[in-house]
Amino acid sequence: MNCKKAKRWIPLAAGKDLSAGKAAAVEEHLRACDTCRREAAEIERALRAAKALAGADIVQDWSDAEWRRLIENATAAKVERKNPLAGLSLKPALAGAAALVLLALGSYLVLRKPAATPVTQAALNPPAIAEIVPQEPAVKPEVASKTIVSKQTGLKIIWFYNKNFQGDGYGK
Amino acid sequence: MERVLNGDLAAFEPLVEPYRKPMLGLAFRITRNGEDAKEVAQEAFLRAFKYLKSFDLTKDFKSWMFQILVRAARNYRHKQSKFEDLTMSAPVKEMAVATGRGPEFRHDGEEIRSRLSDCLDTLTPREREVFLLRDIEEMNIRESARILKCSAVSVRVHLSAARRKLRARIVERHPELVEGGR
Repeated sequence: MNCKKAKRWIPLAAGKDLSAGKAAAVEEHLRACDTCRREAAEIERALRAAKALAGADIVQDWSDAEWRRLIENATAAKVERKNPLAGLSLKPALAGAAALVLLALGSYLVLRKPAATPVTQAALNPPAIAEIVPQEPAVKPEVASKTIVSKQTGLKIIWFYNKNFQGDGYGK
Repeated sequence: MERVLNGDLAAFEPLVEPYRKPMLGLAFRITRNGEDAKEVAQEAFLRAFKYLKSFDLTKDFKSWMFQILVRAARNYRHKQSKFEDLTMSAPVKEMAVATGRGPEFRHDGEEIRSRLSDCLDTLTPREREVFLLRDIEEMNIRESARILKCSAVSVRVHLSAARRKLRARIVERHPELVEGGR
């Protein structure tokens, strides 16, 4: 046993709150370690002193009149079968809330739509032509033209055609 | 207890009378204030009567009473949220007056209570509860865990920390208490 572990167990050993095996291990360590032995002795003495102080301390008491009044007040209450400790702790409520959150999260993970197919590098950087969607003009112009808009950059290209259907475009 | 449950209210007083001082003493050490201790202990007795039917006869009545007391003290502390700021001068005076003894006795009592309170001041509320139940009230680890509604491991952890802090405080501020053993 090292000193770090011993320091955790020494206070418990001082009050005889360790199992026989652990107590023996602490004892063995104390035989070999002066620092821990000194600490163990101090804890034992401090514990004895605190107990002696508590034993010598005069415990306050109610006056007889106060005690009678207390008993009268207590017995005036309606006897209930409910647990007196119920409602005093938030733990059950918090545990219930946590369980509900976990349940909701689990349901979401199970019932949600299947994930989209993984995005490949090609999909991330598609050829420029794939990003361009042709747009038909709302009103058919007199001059034949074709408008195309880039989804990625918003670049709009209007392509005009002359009589010979030779293109002459410009971008916006 | 059966008499109380059958409606004999007069039987309640002899049932709880043995715990009159232990309950008040524990309440005082937890709250560190005479008036608060009385309120907390009174609330615990009220609850004990009100919910007596729920007591499991196979369990220890004293543990059940202490359990109610500890819960009442925690509730009270949350409501008041002032325990941490209390100085010991007021309670020490109150308690000395309450004992009704002579000035010399009060002086000794004050000194003892002041030292004990100083030692307990170094502990967190949970460490104080564990220390008081195990080392002062001499409940075993399992009983303490049941009273505090926590695991035995938790009790051991807090108890270990409490004893370490206690030793540090005594060595630092009250070395005369441990000098005899050196």
